[in-house]
Amino acid sequence: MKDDKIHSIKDFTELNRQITDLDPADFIKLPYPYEDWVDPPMKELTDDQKNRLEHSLDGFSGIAIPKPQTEEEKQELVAKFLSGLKKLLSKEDNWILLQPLLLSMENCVKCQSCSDECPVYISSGREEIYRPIFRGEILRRIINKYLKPGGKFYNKITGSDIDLNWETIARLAELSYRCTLCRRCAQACPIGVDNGLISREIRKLMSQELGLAAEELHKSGSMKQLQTGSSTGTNPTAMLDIVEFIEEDLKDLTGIDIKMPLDKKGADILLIHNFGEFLSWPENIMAFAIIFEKAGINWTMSSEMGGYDSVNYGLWYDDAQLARVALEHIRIAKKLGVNRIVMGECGHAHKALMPVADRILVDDNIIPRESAYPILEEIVFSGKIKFDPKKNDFPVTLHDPCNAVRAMGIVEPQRHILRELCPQFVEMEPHGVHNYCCGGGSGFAIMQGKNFPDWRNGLSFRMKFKQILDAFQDKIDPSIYKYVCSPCSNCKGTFRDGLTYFNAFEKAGIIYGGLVELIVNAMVDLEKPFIEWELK
Amino acid sequence: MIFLYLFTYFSLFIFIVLVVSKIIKYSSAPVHVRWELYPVAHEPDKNKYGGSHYEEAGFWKHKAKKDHLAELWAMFEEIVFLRGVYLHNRKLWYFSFPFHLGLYLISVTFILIIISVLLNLFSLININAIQNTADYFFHYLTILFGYAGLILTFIGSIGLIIQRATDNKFKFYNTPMDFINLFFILILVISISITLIFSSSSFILSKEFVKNLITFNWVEINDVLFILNVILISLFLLYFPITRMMHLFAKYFTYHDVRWEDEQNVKGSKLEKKVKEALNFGVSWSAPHMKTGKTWAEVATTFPQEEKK
Repeated sequence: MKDDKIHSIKDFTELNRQITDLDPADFIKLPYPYEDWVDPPMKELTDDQKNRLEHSLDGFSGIAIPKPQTEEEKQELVAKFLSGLKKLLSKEDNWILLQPLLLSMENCVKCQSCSDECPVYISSGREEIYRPIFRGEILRRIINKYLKPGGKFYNKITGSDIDLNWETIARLAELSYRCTLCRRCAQACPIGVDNGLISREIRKLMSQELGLAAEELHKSGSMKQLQTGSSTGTNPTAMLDIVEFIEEDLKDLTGIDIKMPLDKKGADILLIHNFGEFLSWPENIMAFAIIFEKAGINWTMSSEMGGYDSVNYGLWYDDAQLARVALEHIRIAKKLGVNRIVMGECGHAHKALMPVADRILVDDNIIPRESAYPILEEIVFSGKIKFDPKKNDFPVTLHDPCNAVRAMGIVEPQRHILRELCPQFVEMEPHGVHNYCCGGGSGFAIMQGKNFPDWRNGLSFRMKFKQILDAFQDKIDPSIYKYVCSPCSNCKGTFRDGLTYFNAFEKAGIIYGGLVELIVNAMVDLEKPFIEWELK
Repeated sequence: MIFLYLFTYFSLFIFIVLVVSKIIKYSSAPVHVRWELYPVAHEPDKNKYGGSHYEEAGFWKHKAKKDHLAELWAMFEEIVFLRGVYLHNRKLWYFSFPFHLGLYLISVTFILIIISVLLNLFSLININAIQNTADYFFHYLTILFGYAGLILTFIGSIGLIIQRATDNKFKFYNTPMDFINLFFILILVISISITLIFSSSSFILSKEFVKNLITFNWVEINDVLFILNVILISLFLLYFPITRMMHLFAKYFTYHDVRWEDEQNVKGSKLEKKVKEALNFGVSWSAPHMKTGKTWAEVATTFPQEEKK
């Protein structure tokens, strides 16, 4: 309820109740045909979950933090947090992002230029705890009081006279998982402060010191990937079976008989997909194979552990896991002797292995890594494949994955293709590097535990859904089928759940899919449409 | 009177030491992973829409080109016009822009005073009278910049104080220091203005005082208002480096070392050498999967076996 909201930073550390209680009635309104849309009540944690898990931030549990049982346990966790905070500010333990973090922690003047750039904050009806500077301001005041010299007077005038307790730490940990790390706030900051980075570094502290992370990212994510070969738990044997199924389905669907190249030594390209594509969107794997084969590309995929799943969840919460997974990808590429690694349609995998891992690799590990988008652009405009854009004569809009676009500047290739192959292509506003996150960034797309999906579908996806509806507003009739092109697996995961939540196919005829599906759908050689009009 | 001169030297010294320390702290930080954000100003042509070298297949086959002029222009727009605030926080810009522009002009005035004194020491211009074109130029330029700076900073600081005190989005996060910073600058502006009105309307006292400082000629100053000004400015020099006003210097690093830093790591490069050094730093993170006590290179190549199924 609105009057239960906090009125000062101190409230965050002192209140013995839930900090805020979200009311969907406060969320931003959606355009036609959703003006009268009423969100279903957001799922509450069960009594058992409430007893076991910290939930005093907003009633949601993203990372399932167990409640300490004794006062001693709480004190131990507080001490551990402070020890981790020191490491976060040390050269040895945090060389990976120390300079950007210090610059962001020490120079925010709280001008609030970032506030209205955050889709979560705006969508929530400007809920104070979701304001981009909120997390950083809490952390800054803790650092001032507990790690810096200054004394009571300095703490008083800097507002740092706050008390650190376990509840504050738990709330801060959950709060770091209410930011999608889209960095739209950082883009707006005139000084260059990066509140997305601060959220990421809070997550890192929690993971690397306290062992706290979203289960889907750590235990069932990067750990599982290092243990089995994929964050989905798919081992190499199962991977081979899945590829076989996809080859059969491809033949049934298109009549095209392709033997997917696996573990081909000396290939030009090692293509690594987000393994979610194999399981949830196999048509994406098929489409890549069709395009690469028709274009005569010398490519391969890997069936070996470490080489067939491009996801790297460490990017979102843990430096060690980030480096381990990246080095596995490199190991496979070296073993196969390929010229370059090419990232399939997965934004965070792009960022993890291309710019970020660039400063982890040395000597022979420095292997070229490229995005699939410009390679697809080259193929489409090379004349090697014949296209008929009329086959794609339906409304299409493009979602820009934050990690590949805002964080890497890959803006034009994908829209160049769409302008060529999709006569009814329309941009969302804003788009390109100023896009809004899908709402599933930083791991939210795969975090399905407790009541977190309700928060994601109803709140963090909302701004993107509004953008989609706005883009298609003049063709919103559900009988006109419309396609949201999302060249990113995680974003597609968000669209799958979000569009289902809003019943978007029935109410507005909207489906989503990748870029390669549209390319193949426009191929003259294909007799039947490749795109199936259903919300998968 | 010696105290006034000594205090000014002391404040200047501490100011320089603290500012230089901060700059050294930022510039000597270890190499970090790439964390750029687009648009990157120096991307030739592509900077207009935020594109990058990653848009080109085979980008790694050649060295990335940089448009340094575009980078300079982007910095100029950001520093002088506060482009980011203009685009994302227009209501604040109406006061933040005159406030910052005023401070820049006041800083330029100080520089002009120092240059005038140095030229005077080499007998190239007069600072007490206008006898030639050069005297005229420096005399009126100093007055123009000084007065314009004071008026703009006055308007800006009043506006910012009112916004901070009344707008809920600021109120929630306000600390006493936020107001101390603004009030300190406002008091300085008022104090300098009063001195200019009642004692030295053309900065002649300031130039003489700077000349005395440079030549260690600690002569008596009888103007109480001017003495008060010198003390206030000296206190501000001591106070400035412990506040977030240091973003004045930090901004260079946030843009050049983070937001626009897109250098590719290639074999045998200086960058690769720095990465190798960093990979040998020790790790003391204590979560079970972190392998405390090993180097980063070892941690990255050791899987957390104990958590294996």
